[in-house]
Amino acid sequence: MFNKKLEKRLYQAFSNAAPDIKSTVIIDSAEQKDVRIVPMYTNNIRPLWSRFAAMAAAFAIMVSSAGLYLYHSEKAVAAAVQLDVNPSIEIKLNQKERVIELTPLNEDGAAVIGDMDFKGSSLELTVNALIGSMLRKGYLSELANSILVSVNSKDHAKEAELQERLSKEISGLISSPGFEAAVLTQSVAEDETLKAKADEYGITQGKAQLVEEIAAQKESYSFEALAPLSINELNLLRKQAPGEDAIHVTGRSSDKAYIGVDAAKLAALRHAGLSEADIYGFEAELDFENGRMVYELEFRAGNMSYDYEIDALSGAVIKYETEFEGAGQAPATVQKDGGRDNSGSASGQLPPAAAGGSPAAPPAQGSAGSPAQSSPGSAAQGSAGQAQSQTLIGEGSAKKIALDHAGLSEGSVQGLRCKLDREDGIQVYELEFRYQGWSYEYEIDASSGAVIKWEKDND
Amino acid sequence: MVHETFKSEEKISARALDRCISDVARNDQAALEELYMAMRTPVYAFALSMLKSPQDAEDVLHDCLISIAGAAGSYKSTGKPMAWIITIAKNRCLQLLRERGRCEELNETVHEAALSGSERMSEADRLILSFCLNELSDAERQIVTLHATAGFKHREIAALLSLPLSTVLSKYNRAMKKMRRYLADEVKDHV
Repeated sequence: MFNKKLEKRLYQAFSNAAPDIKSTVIIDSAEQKDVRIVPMYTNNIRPLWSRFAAMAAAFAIMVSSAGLYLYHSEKAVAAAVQLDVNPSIEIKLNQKERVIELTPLNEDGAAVIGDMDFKGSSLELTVNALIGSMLRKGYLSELANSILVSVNSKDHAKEAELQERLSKEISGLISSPGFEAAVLTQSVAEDETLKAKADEYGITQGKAQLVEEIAAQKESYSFEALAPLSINELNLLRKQAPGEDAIHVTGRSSDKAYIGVDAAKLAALRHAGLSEADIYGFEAELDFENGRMVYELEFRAGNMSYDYEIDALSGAVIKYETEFEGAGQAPATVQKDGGRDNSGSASGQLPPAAAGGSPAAPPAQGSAGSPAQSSPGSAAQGSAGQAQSQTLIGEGSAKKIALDHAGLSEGSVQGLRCKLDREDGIQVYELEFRYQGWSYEYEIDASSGAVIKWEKDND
Repeated sequence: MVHETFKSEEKISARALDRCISDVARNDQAALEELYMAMRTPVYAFALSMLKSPQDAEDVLHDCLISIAGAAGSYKSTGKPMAWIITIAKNRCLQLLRERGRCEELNETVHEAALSGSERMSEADRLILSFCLNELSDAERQIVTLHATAGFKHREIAALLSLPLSTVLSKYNRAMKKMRRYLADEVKDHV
């Protein structure tokens, strides 16, 4: 994520540095229309000798094709296996199930492979080593336990057999008491359009197939938004259609990285100034909106219905909406983005609080977690028009939030730095620290304490 | 007129660029302008990453525009027009280095003042460019530049620079880390 921003800055810098010589060029090229520069790798003019050589080679191959059969079969790709977790790796196998080629398809994949060389090794050994590497490097863990195995082979029986075997084997490798992995297996056919799409987004064909299937399930899902998600996240979003068996899954994807429905519910209730006893008709769903995983919650209290969108990682209130559902009175709908509201204020249309005492009015300021400002029964505060809360949580709190999120203590990390900054119009704390060869970076909303961005890298 | 051009400089799709080049072969003036807008930043950036001299990079940009406009007729639609364009730019850069009698990179530090070409450049721009020119190795600089300005995938960069993919990936990572650290430190110093 940070890389993209950096690259944007770099692009901007180059763009501003590049000269504008448009007018000169157009005049020049009009004068030089006869100039024909042939690019170095043109392939329509080849020296005569190379054409002869090509013919001779083709002839030689034809004649000795019988003798080449053995050689050919060792190098011929009989099957291809793609592994996706976040790292993407493709393994090409020959008929004897020995590795011909091993290609990383993204940066994480290259990191997993490192210096290992698997040419000629058996599939079993290779998979063992790769999974081991992923576990060691943290790509597979309690928080991200899902792997996608896509098999492609012209021999369909072999395809199915490989799928089943790999599913069992990988499951066995990853799972341990208390830690169950989710292994998704599918077969992938040779499909040019799918391959093109996969290349465009820098993912494997197998993953593209999975993404396509999920994107089709919901209007709001786009291929583009889903492509960069991990297999773990994708599997959480995926709802298995009844009778569908294109993707075989063992185990369940971990949602331990997320705060859980209960914590999300708590965040919403706190924001609304309600308690568990006040509400009924509670429903929750994990979903993917605007580039992040969120819990979508809805519930009712008294005459009001509430809809909340809670960030699944940080628990921050992203969006909330309340609607009056009594008879007769005009509906007063209040809809705001938590923490950053600049839309219309909640002015005086809210009905008196529900019987039972707890105020039903949403808080005037957007700082998540603070109780409702208005006293029961009064018209809502009109001060909701203020763009930003002036009180900041302080560096100490920001540090604690970041360290808690990473599951570390202040004493155990190195190079802890915290700085107040302004990003996209709001104030944030930017933090960084290191722990056991990993470097962490955090961006915390300075008024609400929500984790806006975080990144973990191993140096 | 100048400012309008830059405001509307947006990333053009491969297919549109392909079409644009065929139009240029038919002497379509508007297409020529479009082509210019699309290649201006990637070609200049890449040339700068190879030659480290803003003046040389400008010359290469100028030459490339002319030769590409001229070669548009022999371009066979490959679906990867930017790769074709950058290859031409790369060859022009190598030619320039040979003409100058140098096959290796210049080791002189490129001063920030030398980058003062355009009034559009801000302090931040100068900072990030002088970092790239002075703190990154040649390969790192070229890889990062291609990724950020020409929109190349790592695999395409590997092919163009004749490097293994894993090398490209690790150099890219290292370069971006260096950049991030450098810029963060610079901000602290300037604050």
